[in-house]
Amino acid sequence: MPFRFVAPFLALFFVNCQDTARTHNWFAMDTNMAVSLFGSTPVSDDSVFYRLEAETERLNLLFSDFSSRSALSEIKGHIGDTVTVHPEIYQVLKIALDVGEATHGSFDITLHDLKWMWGLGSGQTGHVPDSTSLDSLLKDNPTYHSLWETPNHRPPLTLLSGNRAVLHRENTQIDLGAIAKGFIVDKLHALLDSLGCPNHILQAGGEIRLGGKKKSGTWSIGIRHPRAADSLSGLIASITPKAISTSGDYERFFESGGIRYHHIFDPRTGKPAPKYCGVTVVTDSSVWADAMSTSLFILGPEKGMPVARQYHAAAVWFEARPTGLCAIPMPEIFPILNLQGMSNCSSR
Amino acid sequence: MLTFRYTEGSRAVVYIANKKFAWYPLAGETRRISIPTQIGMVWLEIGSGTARVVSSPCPNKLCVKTGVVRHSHEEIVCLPAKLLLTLEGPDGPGHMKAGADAITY
Repeated sequence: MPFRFVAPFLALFFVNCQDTARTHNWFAMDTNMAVSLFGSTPVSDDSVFYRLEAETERLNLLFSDFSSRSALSEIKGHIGDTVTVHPEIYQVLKIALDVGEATHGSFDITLHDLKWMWGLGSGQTGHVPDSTSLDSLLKDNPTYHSLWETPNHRPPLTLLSGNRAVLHRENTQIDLGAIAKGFIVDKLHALLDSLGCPNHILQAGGEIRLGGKKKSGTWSIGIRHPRAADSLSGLIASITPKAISTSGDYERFFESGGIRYHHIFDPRTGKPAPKYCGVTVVTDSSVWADAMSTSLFILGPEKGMPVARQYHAAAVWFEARPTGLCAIPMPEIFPILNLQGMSNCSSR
Repeated sequence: MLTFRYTEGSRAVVYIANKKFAWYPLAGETRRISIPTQIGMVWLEIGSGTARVVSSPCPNKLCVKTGVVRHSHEEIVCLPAKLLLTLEGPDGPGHMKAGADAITY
């Protein structure tokens, strides 16, 4: 067959065989979402973007705690109640409880009321709560972390077979905000694979999931400088598709009397976790990376490193000192992390 | 690690309805970026130190006709979409944004 007859069909077949990265942005879960597709895809880019947005919307509704009729609100009741849990929430709860155990309760899914008391819920304005209200909140419903060393500590709930759970906290709203975003990114990553788009970068705020291969060989992910939004504090270079997550004190915060109050709470004190201003975690899936970055921010490097190792995660902590930013990297992250000469906190 | 260094406009900042929507480094491979606006999808092409609007649902296509921008403070405007793309100057010394595929924050 002469080439001039074949050419139009070839052109149709290769319509999406382009090496140019195509990026799409949308807004969901209080954050900017973005996807970049590389290489050829069997369906049109616009239809891929549409499917991603629709899936985000579905999962966002599932995990949101705004509505009293949401699937999350159904996991609320009296101590000892058995409740039925949506299968996807069940999957996330399983990981959240696991990380909660490994971190002695620093990773806590019952801080919804605390977050709102500080005015750091969605759409709120931040303020320092008076100490009486804060004390009574913690006294009436002590956190897992604060009870860890006592004999009567137990997790917020226990999962049973058949997507059911027994509640161990009285009338407490479950908040999966520190892990749901990672889970959603993993679901979108799986969706892209199923649509025949294995080579991609997905981003939901600080959560990044790399998929497949990059033509030039190495993925390069910048870490935002915790004190200068327009600069980087480090660069991660990876040839394997990884999940990267960062938790920082600059994402949702307010200042009062010269003190910065941010959204990552130490459940033992009910106050923002002090000392570190950012933690970046690299591991194999976003749900674990997300949960790990919050936990490691609260735990700090000394207690956090063994936990990170348990979950095959590598991490770097950043601390803002009057002399400037310094870093505490785990040895495991050295091969892929470029800090451009930033000093190590321990060498100061 | 820092292989790209543009002394000209170093990043394209996109505003929609006067709100900063996103920004992209001008360095690196050329890539296509879709921006959802109130009149539909506007496609940009950013990379190799330049930015341009490839397609837009607006009637006059003035933004497409603007062509390529590459210097600091150059702008592309699409009024029906309330979209403004403006180039901002280079990052200060020691910054590494130029080569990154994405930023975690």
